[in-house]
Amino acid sequence: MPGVAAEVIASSIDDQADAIRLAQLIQTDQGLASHVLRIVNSPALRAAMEIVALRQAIARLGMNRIREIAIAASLSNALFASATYADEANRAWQLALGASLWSKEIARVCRKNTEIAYLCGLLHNVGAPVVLNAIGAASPVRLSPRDVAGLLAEFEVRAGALLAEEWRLPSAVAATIRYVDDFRGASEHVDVVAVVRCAVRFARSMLDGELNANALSGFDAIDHLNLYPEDVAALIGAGESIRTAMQAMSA
Amino acid sequence: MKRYDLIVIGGGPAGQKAAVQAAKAGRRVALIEQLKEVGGACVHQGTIPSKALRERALERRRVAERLQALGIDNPAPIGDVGSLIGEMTEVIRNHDVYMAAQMKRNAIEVVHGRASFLSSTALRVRSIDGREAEYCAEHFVIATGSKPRHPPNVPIDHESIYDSDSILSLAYLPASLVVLGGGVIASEYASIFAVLGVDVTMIDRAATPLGFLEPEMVQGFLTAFARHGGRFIGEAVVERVEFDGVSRVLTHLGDGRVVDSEKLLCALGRISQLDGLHVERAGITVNERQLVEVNAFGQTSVPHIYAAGDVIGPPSLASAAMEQGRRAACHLLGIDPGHRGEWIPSGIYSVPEIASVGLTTAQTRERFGGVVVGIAKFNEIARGHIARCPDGVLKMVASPDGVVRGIHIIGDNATDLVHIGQMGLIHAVSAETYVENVFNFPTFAECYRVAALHVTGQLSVARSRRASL
Repeated sequence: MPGVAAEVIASSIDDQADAIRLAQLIQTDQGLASHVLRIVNSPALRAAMEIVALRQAIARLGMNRIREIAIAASLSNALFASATYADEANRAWQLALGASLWSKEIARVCRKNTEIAYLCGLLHNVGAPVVLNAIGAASPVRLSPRDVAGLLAEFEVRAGALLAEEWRLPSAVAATIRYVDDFRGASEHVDVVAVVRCAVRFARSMLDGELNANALSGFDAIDHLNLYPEDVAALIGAGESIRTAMQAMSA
Repeated sequence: MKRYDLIVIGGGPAGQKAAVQAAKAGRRVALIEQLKEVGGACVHQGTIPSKALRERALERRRVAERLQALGIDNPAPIGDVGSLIGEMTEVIRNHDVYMAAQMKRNAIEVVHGRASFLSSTALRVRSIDGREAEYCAEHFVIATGSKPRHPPNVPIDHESIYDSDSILSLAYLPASLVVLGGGVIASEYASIFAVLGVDVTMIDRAATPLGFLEPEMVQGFLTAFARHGGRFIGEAVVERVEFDGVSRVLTHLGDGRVVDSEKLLCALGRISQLDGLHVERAGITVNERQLVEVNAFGQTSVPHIYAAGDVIGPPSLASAAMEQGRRAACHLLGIDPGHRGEWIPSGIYSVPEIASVGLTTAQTRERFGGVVVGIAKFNEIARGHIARCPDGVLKMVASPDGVVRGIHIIGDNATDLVHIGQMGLIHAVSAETYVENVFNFPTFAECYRVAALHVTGQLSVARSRRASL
């Protein structure tokens, strides 16, 4: 996060390249994205309608205002920093980033809203860094990977749901956090949750180096979204560009 | 290999009607649909969703206007598109349930998958799980519909730059929207989003939108569009469209102007949807516009294979597609489909509504050597004032012998009102018929009588002049 903060502060809105970079930064950092959404939907700033997407926030408030918000958010935000569990946090973030990019691609094919899908993909596991941070703060002794995984399995969704409620994140994000492992259980936003569920599977397969049709066949969300084998093959074909985008965003 | 009397490919309006017609005649019918539900683009992307959105937009506008009339200065915001679309989803779901029941009731086997011809008598269907099955039939109806045209200079990403199939995936109302095109779809969406409070700019190559309509209709559309804050840029060449990488879409015009907007809708026509169908394996060739050519009975160049709906080209109306599907099925069954209606009404669900049937003023003059035009304005009709929609116009076009040749309407209920004119055209009634018969009062239908009086008055003057010569 300090790196992000430094980059936000250093960016100049007068420079189009910086503006593009800052927009990208806000759209690729879980902590920053959550904070920006929280702040733009706060009573002080809230417009006539709820801001439900990051690009909408940028368009509504302008890059200057968004930059101010991003600076404030990134400087004040220690929530997502976990020095003790940096590797686990990084893995969770890699998954979030991969899921966000895949969500956008899948939504595009399904003619679902790409912005909402992207945001939901980015924040689907936002509970993970919260839990990791809490574990790190609670115990000076580093827990075993197995114990960490167990705690994440138990608390990640609950922590994410609480965060979504506390920060009043868009309802689609809240539904995704709660139901990404059981999209049919969602009473609303079922399609977007299915998109993210699908995207998480793509992202995991990609991160594991197993992105192929076999790893994805018969997956419930793929069926729900009416993705035919040729659609899945076309999506897999986009894997390289997503990997490249992830590397660029991680740099 | 499964065998059927008829296989219909595509579950939109044309396909459904063809399937139902054949099933009711006792034939074994399969309908292959790549989506999970039947209905096609009509139900899921086009006709019904956009009309539902229009109705919701108008309802909300009326509420806002009433609140303002009551002195409530700050009526509730018109709402986000997500909630409007949420309401539409209910409409679509109800329609899906109805259509699924209709298929079941008629014992039509609905096959969920993507079809491709193997020969003129067989095809393969690939299901979502990748399994393949082969089907053969005595007859086929191709009713695969259409998809939006994507010009190479408009990089449609369904995120900032949309087409007419993806525009309703918007999650929020953009502050501004550029609509490329001046046809029916462009005009409908442009006017609906303008009513919803979006700053809309329509850009088209032609001088006016909807150029095929009578000038009064075009002017009425443009006036209403401008009143809702819309802007039309005509005779413009779009050189390129680009996303600025942050939040704006830039539309570069040939004269150097750049139109900046939050989102863009590209509505520059639709093309036939034949992806993966391999019609060439069945011996069917498509024309230079990628349309399947058919004869008056809907037969392609391969006589036992028919085509109907958008895949054969204009008029690209759901109503016409249904009739094409029905007639194709009748012909292949050897059933008399009845007289082929000459007068197909067209409805444009813009704000305001526009509808038309029959000949235009120019066509009537050319065909009959003269023309008499009668105009009725909604503000001359009690119902127009009661319903607070005084801006409509009904234009009656008659030949010099007084026979009505065309009806053109702009205003509330135009798409329903036009059918009175359609019946009149079918029976070649004269303007006098409309004058001599009683209409309910107060109704918009009174416009027919007012316009007819305008026509008969002119004819009477002309007769008097001729008599005095």
